[in-house]
Amino acid sequence: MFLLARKNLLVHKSRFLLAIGGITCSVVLVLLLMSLYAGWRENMSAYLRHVNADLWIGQKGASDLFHTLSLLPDHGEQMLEQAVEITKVSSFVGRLMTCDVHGRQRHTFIVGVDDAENGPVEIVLGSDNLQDGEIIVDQVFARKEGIRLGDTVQVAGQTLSVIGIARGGNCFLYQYSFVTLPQARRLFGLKGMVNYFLVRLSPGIEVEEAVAQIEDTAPQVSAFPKERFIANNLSLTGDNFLPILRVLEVIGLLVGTVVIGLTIYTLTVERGPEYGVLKAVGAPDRMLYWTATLQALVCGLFGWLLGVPLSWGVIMLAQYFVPQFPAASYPQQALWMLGYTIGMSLIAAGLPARRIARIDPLAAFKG
Amino acid sequence: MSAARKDKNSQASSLIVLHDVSKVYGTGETTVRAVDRVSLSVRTGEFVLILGPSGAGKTTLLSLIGGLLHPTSGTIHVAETALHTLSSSALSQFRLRQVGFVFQFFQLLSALTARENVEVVLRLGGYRPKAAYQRAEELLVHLGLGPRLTHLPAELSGGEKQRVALARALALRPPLLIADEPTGSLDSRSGEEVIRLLRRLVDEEQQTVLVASHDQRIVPVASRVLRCEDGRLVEDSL
Repeated sequence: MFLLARKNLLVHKSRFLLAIGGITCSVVLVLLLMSLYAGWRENMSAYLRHVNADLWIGQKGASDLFHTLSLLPDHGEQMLEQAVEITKVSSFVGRLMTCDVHGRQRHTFIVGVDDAENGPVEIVLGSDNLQDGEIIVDQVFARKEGIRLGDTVQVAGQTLSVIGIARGGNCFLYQYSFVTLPQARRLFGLKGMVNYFLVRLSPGIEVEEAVAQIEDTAPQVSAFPKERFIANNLSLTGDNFLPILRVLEVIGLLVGTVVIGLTIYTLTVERGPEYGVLKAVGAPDRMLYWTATLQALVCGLFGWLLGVPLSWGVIMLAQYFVPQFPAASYPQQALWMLGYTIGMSLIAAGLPARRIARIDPLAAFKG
Repeated sequence: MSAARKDKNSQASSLIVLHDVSKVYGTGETTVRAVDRVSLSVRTGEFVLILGPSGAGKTTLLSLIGGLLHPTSGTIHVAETALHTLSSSALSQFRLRQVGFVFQFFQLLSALTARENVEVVLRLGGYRPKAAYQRAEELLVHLGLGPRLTHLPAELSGGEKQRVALARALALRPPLLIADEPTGSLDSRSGEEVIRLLRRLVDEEQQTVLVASHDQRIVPVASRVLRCEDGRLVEDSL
């Protein structure tokens, strides 16, 4: 009974709009959290995916860049070439450092660029032709700290000139910056050492087999296939951070369900006598349930229609004011949210449905 | 003709047949016999008025005949359907197809226009939207409400609301029209108009009408007048 559902909803336009507003907020919140979740994973792994390596070789006991320290002698390349067939071995030198930016102490993860394949993902401004005494910073870091091309930053007492601004280096808590490999060694005091070796295997070599061979040959190292290394880097923060996002998502969905349920329940209670009349004249209960369900679905769908574009707007605003906000929006998220919204609406219609079942058609005879 | 044969004949063409029907609420000391062993038959095309004070059981009797209540005992047949044997959902269907209700307080759906109030019942009855729209308009125009089709109930007078209610009740052409105090909330002129309309339905369309009311103006237009007291039908002017 679409006519009845529509008319009942629109009787009190302000209440209808308030309900839509509540559901829209719920949709925006959940989509924001979904995009935060997706963006966090994407951002945290963007640079690591860019690095062209089949394997990351680190000191045994170290498993990621941010929370464990790996130090290996830089002659380890020969050992690797003996253990397995390799196309290329590069050095990876990187560390979280404090730097002085316009008189403020800030943190950035500095990477010593050995070749273009472990440099920044993409330059968006300036040059990627690094020399000693120069630095490329991530665009999020640049926006956050007001850094422009030609500015200088102080790291470990050394002055570095900003020659490029790159994208793909935002890890939410920190951003990557890039210097030459010798520069990085001087900044970290790392003579004759690297943090990781980056290995490209020869064609046809199985990754897991190569891992086993390397670890057999050099028991003091751990070899990580690229995806596993990426997962290691995501895991510590992910295991602690992402469940919180999920809880907030569930809360957002519950809020949406309650808003729809409250609206439709209030409407049903208000319209109780009229539902009684409809029952008296012969309307079956299922038709009235369907009316309540339709009302819930209409509220939900309007909330979704408004919430999806609004969430994109909110994300853009958030990233404008908080450059490191790691959101990533995809159409699939909107579709998931449509499914959740329909689910919320159907659940929310349950309570009014029980109320309808208890309405007495004999009430039609009363005033 | 013998009384038995007369009774059998009347039952044979009767739209409504009640046999020893009671409706009892509560138990023990709190027992209330709202309807007490009522037997009744009403023929097609009759205009039956049930008079009685408040609390006499008129509404309960109408509810039983209209399929809104199950009797505690006895049998009820309306339009050859044994109501006392039907489930709730079957009673809903019965009410939709066989009975039109007119209530004292009109009971229109406040969010719907006059036409939409009639359309709702037609859509319930399986009419397609366009056909429902046309039939609703037809009925309302026939009852003098042509200019008021798109008005909400709040914009209608009492008499107009009751005519919309009448149109709704007649939408699916039910054989039986039940009206509970149809003039109870109307001014004198509107009340007379509704009474005339009810009589016209009986005269022109052989509609069977069952009215419960205090309104003495209905007495002269009714085919039969029954008096209800303490749940019993104690007088019949047949």
